[in-house]
Amino acid sequence: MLTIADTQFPSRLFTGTGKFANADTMLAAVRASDAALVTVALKRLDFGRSSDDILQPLQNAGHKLLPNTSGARTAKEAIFAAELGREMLGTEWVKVEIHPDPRYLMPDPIETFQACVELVQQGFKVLPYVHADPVLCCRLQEIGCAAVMPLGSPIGSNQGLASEPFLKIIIEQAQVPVVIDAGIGSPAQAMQAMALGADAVLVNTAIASARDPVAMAACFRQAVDIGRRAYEAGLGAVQHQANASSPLTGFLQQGVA
Amino acid sequence: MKLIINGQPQEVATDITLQVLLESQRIAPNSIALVRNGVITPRSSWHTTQCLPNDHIDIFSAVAGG
Repeated sequence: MLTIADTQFPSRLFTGTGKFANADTMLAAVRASDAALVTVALKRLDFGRSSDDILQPLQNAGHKLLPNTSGARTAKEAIFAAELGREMLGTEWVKVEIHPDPRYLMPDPIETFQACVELVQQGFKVLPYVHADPVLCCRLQEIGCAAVMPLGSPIGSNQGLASEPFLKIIIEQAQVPVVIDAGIGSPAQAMQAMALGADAVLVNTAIASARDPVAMAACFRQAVDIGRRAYEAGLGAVQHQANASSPLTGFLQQGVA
Repeated sequence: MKLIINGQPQEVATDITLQVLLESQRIAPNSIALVRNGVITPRSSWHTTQCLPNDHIDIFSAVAGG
């Protein structure tokens, strides 16, 4: 079973709660995904608008909540957001994401590293969202991050595992769980990520933007499960040349004049 | 007295605690975090922390996100 920071997770699919058409669809999709860990964002309360309480139904359904620091542009802001999340939700878990660039939402590695150092020292269980940078992931695990969350491709882009060669290196070197986050656009891509040896995947946009998010969530759940089982079964080696599966005895030619 | 709540000036009764402020604004206390003058105020202190004139109070809640 997947274990992050001494907590066991019965599912290797994590989901976000953003971009759904409404709260009911989101709750139904999260339920169908069977996700063990579900991300939420933090925001100043909007007095003028009524908002659904998304927390209570998620918590009642047994999903562990992971507040993120989305919106933070610096380490200082991310640390403040993590402290807000701890106060609000009573959790020391935090997904650190710092992406000042609104066009590609690339995570800032320097601010992210600085925030993680401080948050680990404060006792947080820190899961940083980062580029698929094997060196950075090693450094983050060295300072005590509970997991690393490298991207497959830009957030919400549904481009899949554009970073695959580097994800393989990260997985090979990892001593903490690797959660592939961002860009996974289809169940096939989630399965591929799991078959590479990822410990979990985090999917939001691909579920939320599907024509039927609830059905798609169930597809992702199955894909993640199958991908993991394929990894555990041990994939055969990839070779450049052909390697016959049937005997090549040349019997068709034997006996011909 | 005047408070700045989530960036907006608001007139509220004097001598109120953060707890009373929330009740007067009809804000459910579950699942929010309060920041007074840039400092997070723990839930356990809401009923003893007095609001002072021109305090900046920021109220955060959880929203959908990835």
